[in-house]
Amino acid sequence: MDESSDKSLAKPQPTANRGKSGGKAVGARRKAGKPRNYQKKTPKLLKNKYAQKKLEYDDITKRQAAVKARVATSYTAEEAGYMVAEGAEDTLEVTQDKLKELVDINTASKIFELDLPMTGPFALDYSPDTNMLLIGGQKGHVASFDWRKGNLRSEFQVDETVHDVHWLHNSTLFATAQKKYAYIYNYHGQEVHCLRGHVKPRQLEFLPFHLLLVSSCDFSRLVYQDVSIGEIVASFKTNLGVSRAMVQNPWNATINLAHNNGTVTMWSPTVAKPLVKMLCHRSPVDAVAVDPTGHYMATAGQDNKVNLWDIRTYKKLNTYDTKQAATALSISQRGALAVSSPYLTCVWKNSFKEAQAKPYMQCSMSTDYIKTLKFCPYEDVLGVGHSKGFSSLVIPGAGDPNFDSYMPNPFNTRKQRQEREVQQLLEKLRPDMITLDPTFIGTLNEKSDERKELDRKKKDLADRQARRQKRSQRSTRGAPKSKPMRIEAADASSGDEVSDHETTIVAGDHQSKSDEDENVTADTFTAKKKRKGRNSTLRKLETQRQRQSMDSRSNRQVERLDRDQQRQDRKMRNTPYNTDAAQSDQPRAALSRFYKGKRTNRPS
Amino acid sequence: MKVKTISRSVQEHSRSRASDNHVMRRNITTTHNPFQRAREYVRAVNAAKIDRMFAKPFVAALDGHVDGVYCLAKHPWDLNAVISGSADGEIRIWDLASQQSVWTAQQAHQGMVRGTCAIPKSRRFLSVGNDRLVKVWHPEQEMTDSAAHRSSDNAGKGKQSRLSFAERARLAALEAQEDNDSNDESGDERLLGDSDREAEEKEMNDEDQALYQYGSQQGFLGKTRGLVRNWDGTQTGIERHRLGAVQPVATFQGEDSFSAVDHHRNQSVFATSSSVISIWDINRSQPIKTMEWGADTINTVKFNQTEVDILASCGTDRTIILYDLRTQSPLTKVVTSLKTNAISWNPMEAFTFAAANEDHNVYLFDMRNLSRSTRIMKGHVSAVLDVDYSPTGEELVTGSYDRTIRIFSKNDHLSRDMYHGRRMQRVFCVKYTMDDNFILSGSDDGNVRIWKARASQKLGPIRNKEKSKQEYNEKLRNRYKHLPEVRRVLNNRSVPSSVSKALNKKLTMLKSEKRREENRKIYAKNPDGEHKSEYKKSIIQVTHK
Repeated sequence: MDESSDKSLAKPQPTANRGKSGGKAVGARRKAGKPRNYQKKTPKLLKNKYAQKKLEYDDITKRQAAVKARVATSYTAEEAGYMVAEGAEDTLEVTQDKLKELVDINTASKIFELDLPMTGPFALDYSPDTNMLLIGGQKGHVASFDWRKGNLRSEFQVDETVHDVHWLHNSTLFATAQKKYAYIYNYHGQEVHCLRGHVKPRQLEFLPFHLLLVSSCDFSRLVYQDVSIGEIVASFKTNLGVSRAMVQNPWNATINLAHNNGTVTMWSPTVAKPLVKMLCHRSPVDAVAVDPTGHYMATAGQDNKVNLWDIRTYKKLNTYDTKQAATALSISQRGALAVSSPYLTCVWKNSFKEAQAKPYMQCSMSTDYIKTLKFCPYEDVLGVGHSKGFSSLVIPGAGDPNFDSYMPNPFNTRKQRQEREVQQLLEKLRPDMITLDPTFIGTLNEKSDERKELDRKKKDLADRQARRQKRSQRSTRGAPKSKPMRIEAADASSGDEVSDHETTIVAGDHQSKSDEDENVTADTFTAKKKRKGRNSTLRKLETQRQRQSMDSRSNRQVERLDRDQQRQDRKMRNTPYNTDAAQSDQPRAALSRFYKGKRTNRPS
Repeated sequence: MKVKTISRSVQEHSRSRASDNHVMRRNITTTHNPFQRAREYVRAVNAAKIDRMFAKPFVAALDGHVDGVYCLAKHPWDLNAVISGSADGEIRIWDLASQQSVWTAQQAHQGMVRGTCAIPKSRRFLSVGNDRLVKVWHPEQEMTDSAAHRSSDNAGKGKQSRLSFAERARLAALEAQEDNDSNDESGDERLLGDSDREAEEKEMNDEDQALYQYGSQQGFLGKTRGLVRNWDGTQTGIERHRLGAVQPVATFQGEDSFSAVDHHRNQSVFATSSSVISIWDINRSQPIKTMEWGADTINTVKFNQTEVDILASCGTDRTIILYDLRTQSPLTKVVTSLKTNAISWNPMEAFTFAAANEDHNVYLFDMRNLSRSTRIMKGHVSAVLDVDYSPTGEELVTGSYDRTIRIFSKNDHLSRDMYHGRRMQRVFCVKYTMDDNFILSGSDDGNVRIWKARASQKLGPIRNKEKSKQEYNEKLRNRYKHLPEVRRVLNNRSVPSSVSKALNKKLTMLKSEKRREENRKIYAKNPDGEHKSEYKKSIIQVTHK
């Protein structure tokens, strides 16, 4: 949820003459001694003064750009909707019929019902530009229409079960999950593709930045298909039975599945196991919803509970009891949570920020089964797909009033839509970029640098060692061209080094090894002396022995580096991947406990 | 009950007329723009790919010389003109915009033309050759008297002076040609009907007509050796030859065959190199001063363009010598491990010069401290034969015996780009044009080639939108250039097999040399004493006078 927009919700400010007063306020603040954001000093990080200067310059331009962008958007900002009770009134008592009288004609026209009792219950989806609505009835009735103007674009009967419907990257193509396969239709309602990779799909999702169509199928299968090239990117067996609900996390593009055993699992197409498995209910999970910021999740179980979660810490925020088990959930752009149970749809406002005593709005429905709830983006509208058709409800303050023209927007022209399609294809993200933390790109991977440094040192040592070995072999093979004085000197210095920072075990090891060497060399020495009886052999053997001891020294260095590396690794594992404390409280605690236990086992 | 809902009107959010701009609104919060970093990274990869996709640096080959082109000169005040001299003694002036040879002097020298250089603030230029002669040329004076009169009468002096060096040369050649071949009108008739031509003539004054006719005289096709390609690829222009008609305005006799010539920036003094450095006054027949310091033969002489009385030369005895014209004596001598082939002064930093060395490297030197080079530019796999600074002093272009051209940023030790052509032979001379946008190369195969200085740059005017997009892409590439995927795309070059083979061989040799050096260090009495900075390695001796 956007903090700034939240504030404006709490205290609506008139947008008029904001520019003037805003400017004055900024000036006053600066006089009071608060430095302007981009005048912050860059810390001295670099030795090279030109590089440092460049860094400072970059920093300043970056800050200036950020300030400018903020100012620019604040000027274009529109005010969000609201409904405030006056006196003894209660927002909860405002029905849709009452609301129709309170709002303008334009908004009132957004409250409507489609009575389709023969072909329900209905799944629904708003197109990315919010103009088109797609509904798919269980009995095979599929229709797409401009819901604001009421223009029908396509309507057809597929003569088999339709479990779910979903728009693809724009309002020209949509997918349906039918009895046996998933299908793609164009805006005329003509079948374009039959996706045989999705066998018996139950739920559909579409990741707009990765252009992936995701379906959760029977036989507990999860299928990712790239719609731009048609390739099936991943197909997993979840081994958790048929999922009861599927939703994407818009922040990191992970797929959240709700299961019969009370868990919610999060999936990425590159990992065949769930990234996260959360036990959310002591009963089957019926519905799941993630808010657009990706911070919060709501789950509804058959235990008549709705649980709210912070999925940065995986902690439960709150629990609401429902009279009957909720069947569908949806979270709006500004954090309103819609919960549907038989004959009733409730909307909770601000429920992720603080515990609410009662819902913000509620609407009694004429049916006992509500299949789908979806808030329309950039609108104060909630779409409800149920067994008797479709209802469009107005929830003031649900949608974000400020859309971005460079993203799918309600007023895009045909040309803009086409341009955007090209942009989407060019900027398609690879499936392997889907992770729990999408900000990992562009952050410095310090771990690997340290690792590299260690590896490099290790390799250097190994090389040197190999070279020495080779040389010693050569010298023993060839004529005795020994340089005993020099090697002795080197050995002496190395001995000092060793005594400085080697542990007793290794030193002992060294001792035993050299003892061994002595035994061996003593034997060979006597043998060779017998054979030749010359002093040169003695010297040669001497040097050889010394070289071997040098090798053992570099061996020890390698060991030391290994140990360093292991220590480093342990440290890495101990510190969570994400340094944001709020996001990674739980795993860190778990891991530290693990290592603590291990440490105590070590002999001190 | 106070209620407000989102209710937008179409009028507010769409343009009222088709000529208006679209109403664009921004919401830059991360909720509405997720995956910003990932998307930017993808954009950076795309920008890198686009950069390599559009990297078509070759613009044109100026065809005309029969033998290899061994010297090139640009005019310091005229963007359009370039003078080239070839091994068969021919000198040509090229008009870069039309890519045509506009003036030719066959047999300008007996044997090779070794150096040419434009005389600043004038229309004349100098050339030296193996025939021990220095010649001063004035392409404009080639006009016959009648033609000269006509052009001065009609065009007027003001207009004449506005013409560029190349245009004047072309004009001169034209006028003379017109006089020689005034009877031959068949070419014109083939292209234009009589009536058409008369109409054209009425519209144009004589000068314009002369220029126009130049393009239309198809009748000289038989006398030309080849066609020259225009910007748009059409072959319209005709190369012109005036056999035996060109004469120098002055000739100086030297004692030895010359190897190079360079003119002082603001005095009427020029320097030539042979076995000695000779300083000539253009008004005297004998050199006013000769300077030498040991070298048998001197390859190059170059005036500093900022500290104008300083000269640098390099000789076959592996020396680089600096001279001062004010004391009229040498200053400093550096002996390098291998011979230096060419020198270029940085036009922006008076004390910096680049030396193209036989050991495949280019060394940058600070004139004030020659005991170490300030930078070593590596990459060529054969001797570097010529080097030239860009007019901004930010970049260097080098031509090598390995048939490639490399471009270096002044702060980098590896090349930014490498150009090669299937038909391009050993590159003996390279020049950066004065507008910083093009590179000229003269090679053994007798062509002068025009290359873009930035391989993927789009030529011609571009719209603001495109420009801002290009700038954005440039920023992206810069930001992500260290990431492996982007780096791989950006650094990928198709290298001729001869070069890649030589490179592998060279790397092996360097590696083994390094290994040997390390071994030496291990056994050395004083390993630290063995260490010599890379920047000092190739410098053997520095002597001051």
